Amino acid sequence: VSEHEGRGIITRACERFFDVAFDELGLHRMELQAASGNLRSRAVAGRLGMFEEGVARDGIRVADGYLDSIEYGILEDEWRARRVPT
Amino acid sequence: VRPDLHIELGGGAVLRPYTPADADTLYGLIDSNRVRLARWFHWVDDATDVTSQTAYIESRVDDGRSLDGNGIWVGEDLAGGCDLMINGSDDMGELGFWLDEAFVGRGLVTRAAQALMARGYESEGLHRTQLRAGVDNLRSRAVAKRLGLREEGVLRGAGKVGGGLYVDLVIYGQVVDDWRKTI
Repeated sequence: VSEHEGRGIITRACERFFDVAFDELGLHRMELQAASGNLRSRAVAGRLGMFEEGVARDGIRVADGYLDSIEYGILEDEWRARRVPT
Repeated sequence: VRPDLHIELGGGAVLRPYTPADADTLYGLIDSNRVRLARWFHWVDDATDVTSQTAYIESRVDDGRSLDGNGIWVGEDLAGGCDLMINGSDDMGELGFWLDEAFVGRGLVTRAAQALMARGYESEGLHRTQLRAGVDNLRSRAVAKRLGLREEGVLRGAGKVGGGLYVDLVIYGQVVDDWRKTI
């Protein structure tokens, strides 16, 4: 909902997800796929410290066609390095 | 899995799904290629006995959409496997394949994958095919090239392989319009 945009809610929720995924579930890697034109989602990936790793052409289907999917990833050790207080 | 799938690959080779009666043969072939395959596939560690393969074959029946659970058969012999997993919501198919060492170099995987891709685009309404292969898996990457797939990126540490290790995966993709130009 637009009135809730821009408050960092998604970023904070994802940070909690990543903590659970790496600390409690023992995952090695988190991925995010965002449509190339979805600049808000891509900005979230950037704030989470995820790396852009590729473009899956026409990898996302939408109502009126297909969009390129930007592939983001972050590894456990990269996430831990970000979480260490400086 | 599509129980009725049966594709002639030439030279007496056929692509068809496993049945539970093939579990013994499948386990035997994985076991004799264990070290080679474990370099690229974590599922090799799950192939612990014939029962594990019976369970695998039976579990695939639940996915009625994908063209998977297939063996490449040369006469009576199992030579390897080739699958196209279907992600219906994005109209995308993902290839996977492996071969027994003795059958490498005959073009079996390339022909099997070409047949599955054609079926995916023509009969299943797929818009895109993708393949993820270990960066150092040069044989699989050569197959991707022969299939006309394009390199789209490197997913770091995204591939879990035997022994609990991780490898970087090259992601390859093809859109149906590219495929039409190649046939």
